[in-house]
Amino acid sequence: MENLKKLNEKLLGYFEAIEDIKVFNELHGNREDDGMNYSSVYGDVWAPAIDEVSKAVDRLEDDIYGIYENADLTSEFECENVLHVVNMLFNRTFEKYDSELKYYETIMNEGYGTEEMKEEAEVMFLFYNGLQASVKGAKYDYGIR
Amino acid sequence: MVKVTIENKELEGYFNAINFIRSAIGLYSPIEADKNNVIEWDPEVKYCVSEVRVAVTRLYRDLRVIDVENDLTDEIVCENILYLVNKLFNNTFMKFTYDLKYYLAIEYQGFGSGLQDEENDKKRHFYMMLKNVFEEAKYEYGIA
Repeated sequence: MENLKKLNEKLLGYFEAIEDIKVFNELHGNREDDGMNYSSVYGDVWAPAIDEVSKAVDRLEDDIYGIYENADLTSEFECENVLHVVNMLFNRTFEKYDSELKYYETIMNEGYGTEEMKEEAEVMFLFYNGLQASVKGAKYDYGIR
Repeated sequence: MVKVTIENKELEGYFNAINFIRSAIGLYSPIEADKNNVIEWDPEVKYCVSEVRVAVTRLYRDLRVIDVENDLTDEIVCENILYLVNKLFNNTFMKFTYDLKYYLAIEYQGFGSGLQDEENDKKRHFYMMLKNVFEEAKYEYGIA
């Protein structure tokens, strides 16, 4: 029983982790209603990336919710299976953006583009770097592998 | 000089590879597209297609800028640019392999979560097709 409780807490941790990442990166769908500080320094440049990540996070949230709703969370075995799948979905959602980070890092560091291109890369790098840091932080806080 | 010529051809191979992928996936805008070769994607995958289109357009734009702005008659510059372009090319498409893995995870979970629906199947097929086309383009144009 104690084990089952721990598994359920772990499952709920994913929702809390997602919520933290959303707040940190201003990923809430309707930013004005949420009162988020969306129009920060790089708001306009970041907007397409924020929208893209928001959609991926919404998909993750919906899918995790769908899994929880249909699974028998009173079964320890099923809880473990659900945790395994949810972990895969969570990690794959955010790993995707490591490629974006590397893309902009390459432009910044290799120095063969125009100044304008490098400046844009620096700004976008900041966004994806922040996203990566917040994902790491949330994983640590909620004990996600 | 011979080496530079070969490297310039290699660079051109990246543009050809991008065009190959754009044609195969139907990433051209309706104005650019050959009317006989327009792919009508299901509404469920339209967003996936548009995300890939944005990434490919960015890659093409960045590669063109790098191509135009640098002295491609210099052997060292050419080698460095090829290295850079290869990283940008691979990172652009690597991004979408995570989407494929996401939908594969949903497919393989196998304990009745209700997520194995038609929409997820279509998305998985799209990302699988993109991966195959990407691998084919790399093979066709000798890209590492």
